[in-house]
Amino acid sequence: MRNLFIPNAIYLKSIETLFTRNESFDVSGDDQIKVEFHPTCVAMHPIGLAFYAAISDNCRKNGVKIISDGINTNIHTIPYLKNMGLFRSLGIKIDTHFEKHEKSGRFIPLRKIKNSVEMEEFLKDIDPILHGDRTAVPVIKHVFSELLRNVIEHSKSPYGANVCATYNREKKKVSIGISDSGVGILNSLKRSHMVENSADALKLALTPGITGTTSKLGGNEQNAGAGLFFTKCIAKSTRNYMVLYSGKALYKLRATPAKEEVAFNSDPFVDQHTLNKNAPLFRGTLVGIDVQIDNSNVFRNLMASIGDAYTLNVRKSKRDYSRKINFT
Amino acid sequence: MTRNILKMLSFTKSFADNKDKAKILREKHLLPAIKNGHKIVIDFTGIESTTQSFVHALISQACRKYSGIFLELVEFHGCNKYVKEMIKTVINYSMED
Repeated sequence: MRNLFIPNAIYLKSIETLFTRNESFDVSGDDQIKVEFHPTCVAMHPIGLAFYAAISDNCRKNGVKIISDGINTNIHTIPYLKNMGLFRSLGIKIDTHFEKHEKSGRFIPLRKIKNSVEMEEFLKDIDPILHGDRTAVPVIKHVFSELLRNVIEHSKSPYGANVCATYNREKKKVSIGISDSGVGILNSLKRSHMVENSADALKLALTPGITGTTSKLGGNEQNAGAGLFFTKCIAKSTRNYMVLYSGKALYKLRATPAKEEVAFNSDPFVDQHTLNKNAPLFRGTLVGIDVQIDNSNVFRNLMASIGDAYTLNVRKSKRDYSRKINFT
Repeated sequence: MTRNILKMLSFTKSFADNKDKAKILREKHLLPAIKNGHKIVIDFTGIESTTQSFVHALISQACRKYSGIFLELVEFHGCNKYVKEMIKTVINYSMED
């Protein structure tokens, strides 16, 4: 039996805390794992919640039992963790009473999305969390849609995607976590590309025009290989972090400092980032992103700018056809 | 000349992102119309936003295959600024000289 240690704080900026006292997240070969919580504090970004939901799916897939000695009930974040569905997803019962969150729609608890129909339902439900911000809503929905569709189309996970999110009203920040226990990015891209390790696979996955369904730059009729690139650019434009973890590699896009101009690089390793090439093995894919929605100006021309950056990398013609399009 | 109208809101939600539906529209309506030399109006009236992936799945193949003929035969109606930007992006990277 192995222990799965849940540390005191999991944020995008310090995502490496996931690895504290955990040498591997591969549960195949185990009979059971024991979940051990930090004794005094457990603060968790949605990426942490999504991550443990994927570990739980991996346990289910491999017939591994999850046990726990419990959690210190004085930890003040227990209501949050319970409302967000952490204990439910791990199959751990918590005997404590607390008040429910206010019904202001600031939290989207862990939820499983297995197909397009469930995804459409989910995307309808996230409107309240954004309080109708007209410029930010399409962008946030774009992020959810691209990431969830990646899972549905490429992960081959029998349990689909785990998704959850929070909205911090004071900071006007949406935090998103999405995971799956599928084949991982390396295996997905190997179908069409020469790629040997998880770190190279993450680089390819973040490069515009690369998709696992074809070796052609720019994709095929159904996939453009743009989802993760767009998502990275959205995090970058609002000067936030993004994390991508799969197999033995973890890529962390660092927040662009206020004094620096935001540039949408086609090579993710040109962006300010951290890359861990030898992370504990995680069978699946995990994505976390923060998006600031307090600056409408950022969003106004954002998708056009990202689109231009994508086009520069994959276009076959140098001509601009915009004026020839028949808009009425 | 025959002129077909494809009302997107009849097929998708106001947030148009379902690529499975885009594929059906592409295979059943868009590609056959262009192949037969018919004009086709893709009506985005009521669509509040969409994704690059959806627009790609809808028109990219037709752009690549028919190039200039695509631009002659396809009209985009009722697009808001957001939808227009997505369409411009996809057309600009899909067109081949």
